[in-house]
Amino acid sequence: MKSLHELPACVVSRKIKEQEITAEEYISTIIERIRQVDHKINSFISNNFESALSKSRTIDKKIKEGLNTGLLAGIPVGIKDNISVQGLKNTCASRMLSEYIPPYNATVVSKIEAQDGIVIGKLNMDEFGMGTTSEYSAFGPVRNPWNLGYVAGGSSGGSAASVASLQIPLSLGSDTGGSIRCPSSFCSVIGIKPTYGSVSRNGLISYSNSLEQIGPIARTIYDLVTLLNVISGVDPKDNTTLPKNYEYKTDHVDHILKKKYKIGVLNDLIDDSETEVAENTRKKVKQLKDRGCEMEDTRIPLSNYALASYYVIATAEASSNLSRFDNLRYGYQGSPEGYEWNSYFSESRSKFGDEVKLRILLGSYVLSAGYFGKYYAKAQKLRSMIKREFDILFNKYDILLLPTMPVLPFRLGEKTLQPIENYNLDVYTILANLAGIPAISIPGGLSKEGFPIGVQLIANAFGEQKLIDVAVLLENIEGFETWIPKI
Amino acid sequence: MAKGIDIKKLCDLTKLEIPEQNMTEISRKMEEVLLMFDKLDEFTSEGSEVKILEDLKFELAFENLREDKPGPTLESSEGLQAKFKLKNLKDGFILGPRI
Repeated sequence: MKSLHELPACVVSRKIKEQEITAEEYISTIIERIRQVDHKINSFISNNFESALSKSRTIDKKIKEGLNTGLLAGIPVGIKDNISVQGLKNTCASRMLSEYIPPYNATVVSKIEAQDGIVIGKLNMDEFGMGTTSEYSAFGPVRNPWNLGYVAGGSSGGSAASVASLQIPLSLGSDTGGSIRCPSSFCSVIGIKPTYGSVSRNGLISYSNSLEQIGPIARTIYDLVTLLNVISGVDPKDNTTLPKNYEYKTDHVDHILKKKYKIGVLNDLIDDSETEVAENTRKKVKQLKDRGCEMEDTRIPLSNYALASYYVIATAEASSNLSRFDNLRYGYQGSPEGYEWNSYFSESRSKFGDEVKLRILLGSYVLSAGYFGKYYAKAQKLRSMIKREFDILFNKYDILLLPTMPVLPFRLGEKTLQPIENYNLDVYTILANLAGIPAISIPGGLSKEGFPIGVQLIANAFGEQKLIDVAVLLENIEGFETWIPKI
Repeated sequence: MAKGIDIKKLCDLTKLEIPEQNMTEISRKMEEVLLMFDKLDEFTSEGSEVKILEDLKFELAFENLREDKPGPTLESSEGLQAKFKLKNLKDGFILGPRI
């Protein structure tokens, strides 16, 4: 029989509502699990155990009194440490914000709490979301639960590793260029980057606000859809959100098969991946074809320029967004006494990590008067063209299929010295961010040495339901929710 | 194009302190990344159904950005002052330390 911490959130929530177990029992089990496991993984930066226990008792009381409870009754959710939770430190894994405590909840956090979900703690990440490995954290790197000497992926490494290692069933990450999908692929969990504008970013500490989006991570598609339904929707505090019907559902396999999805396979990107990644992705193509999906080879010709376009825009926006950190309004304890004003700013900002400093410098450079047309304007035009290419492709296909990452997880420290080597890893994930469209990473299998491989599906704007449908198909074929790392 | 970046000037503009011993390393990394950015110069729409770059209409032409003129200063208020950690405020202004 499975332990409580191994069960999916949807099963546990039902048990709590039917009073088979109490929310307090479940939260206590989860806290115990985190205490046992996380010192090996380093996925949490701070915890919220006392408040979580207190909230669980409140939920138990509501149930005993016969009151209605929400979709996430008694379920612990981990929150990436760049999403504001009132009263909990929001460090962005940076020394710059090591003491910052937000005075308000991000909209997504309020929505989770309104559905009786419980914030269990804040999760480790690359500093300000700038990285692909979760090694650039002031709190130490996140370790991959499948092999503790390897990277967990990033930047939402803590969000994926904590779910994969059965510490929590659900978490929130943010995805600027693959930051949800990359660690989901490396840790063998499901993560979705929703359509830009479908989930509020109010309360998310911005790195590149035209690219990033908050999204859920889970072990099964059924849990993922529950959390996605909770956080999606228009928000008056974020005027980029759109009012639409965001009720996603996990349909029955037979119904999904009747939809006869037409899937474009990005074969050139599959061929450019490591051998085992390519082989595994082709296996998924065959599985879907065998289930009646229409599979056809296609390509995105402008994808060669996407990486440059993405990094020009991301660094430009980062240099602007991070200029607010002057240690006056936000920051750590420090006194400006004795400093000349400009020196104080520079001194206080020296607490940014090296990668963050590099990206701020790059962003300022590409925005400077002499180079604005050469870099930024061109990058924006290319972004528009890439979006148009996707529009054309989605006239032919419902979904595009490609690997999430071109490589398998690699050793900690292996790629930290060469920025380009790291940036190249994002080449398959940034496409969805540039176009603002939804993309999901689904566990695709394990390599011969036991490392997870993810498969990525991309749909047109607000086409999350199609991604969910195919994820249900793949989960039913493989049963990947049962792949658990031994820690 | 990426060669010869004045890192010190950039640091000054961005209010970042980079220790002297790290300057060479950060210059090397910047040049490496800017070389990757230079790929944008090689852009061709060959093979793409989206043909001409100039076809794209932008609401605001990048070449015709408005001049960077300062606007009127926002009026100070108690609410604004409360956001600052410093207590050393007078008439809505922050009093800087004496030099």
